[in-house]
Amino acid sequence: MNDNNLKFSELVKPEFVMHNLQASTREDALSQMAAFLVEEGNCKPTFVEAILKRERAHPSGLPMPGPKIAIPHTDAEHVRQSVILFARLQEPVEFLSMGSPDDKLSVRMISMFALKEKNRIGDMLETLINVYQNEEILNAILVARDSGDIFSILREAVEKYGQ
Amino acid sequence: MKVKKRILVACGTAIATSTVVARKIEEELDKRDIPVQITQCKASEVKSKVEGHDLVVTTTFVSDTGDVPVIRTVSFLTGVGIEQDIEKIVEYLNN
Repeated sequence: MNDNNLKFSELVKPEFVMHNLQASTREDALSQMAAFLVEEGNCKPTFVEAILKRERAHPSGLPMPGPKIAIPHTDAEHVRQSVILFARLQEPVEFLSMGSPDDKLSVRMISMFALKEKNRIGDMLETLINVYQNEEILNAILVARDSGDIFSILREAVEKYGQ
Repeated sequence: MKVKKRILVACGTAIATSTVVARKIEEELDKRDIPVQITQCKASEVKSKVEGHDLVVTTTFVSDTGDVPVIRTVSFLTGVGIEQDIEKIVEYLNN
């Protein structure tokens, strides 16, 4: 544990949770999310293309035991201020599986990492990945009422997992 | 004192994915009292950084690792199949 690490409240915020993103393809979803981060000032305009390019080269869908989730991210140089943008999609889109791009995953949750401080995010990332492995938590997020509820579920889960 | 084995952990950008993978491997090997030194890099950097490592663990496709064995897996992110992968890692490190 390093006290210098970024905390949950510094990376995950209710206003950075989209509870009903409408997108027809993964590129559509990624473009909308990345554009939002540019508008909010967290990312440079180059972030959008960098996210799409990275997804083509290295797919970010994770074949979790329960609901599948994608964790798109790209180089720190495109980020001004670190944040994690979480989106639940109205309808699933297809992502390719990290590590085995022949496998297609039906994804309704995307956790976009816009990260700058490489050495201060390990604890938080590991905790979040543990949360995303939990089928019950992801199922609760899928039926949550709104962004506030999704945020609360994530916060409680992260507390439970020891952050 | 045991000699630390060196593992190179690669992913697309070397910021998020490989950070989690590196930490998980370190924790699991620590439980087994196997000291390791882990370096993170981008998949595109593997060719230039692989020298001197005993093993490459990657979440994505990598090429040009020379004689160094490669394990491609996402188990450390999904939680599925970690035990088998750790066994494989230990086996490679012991060879």
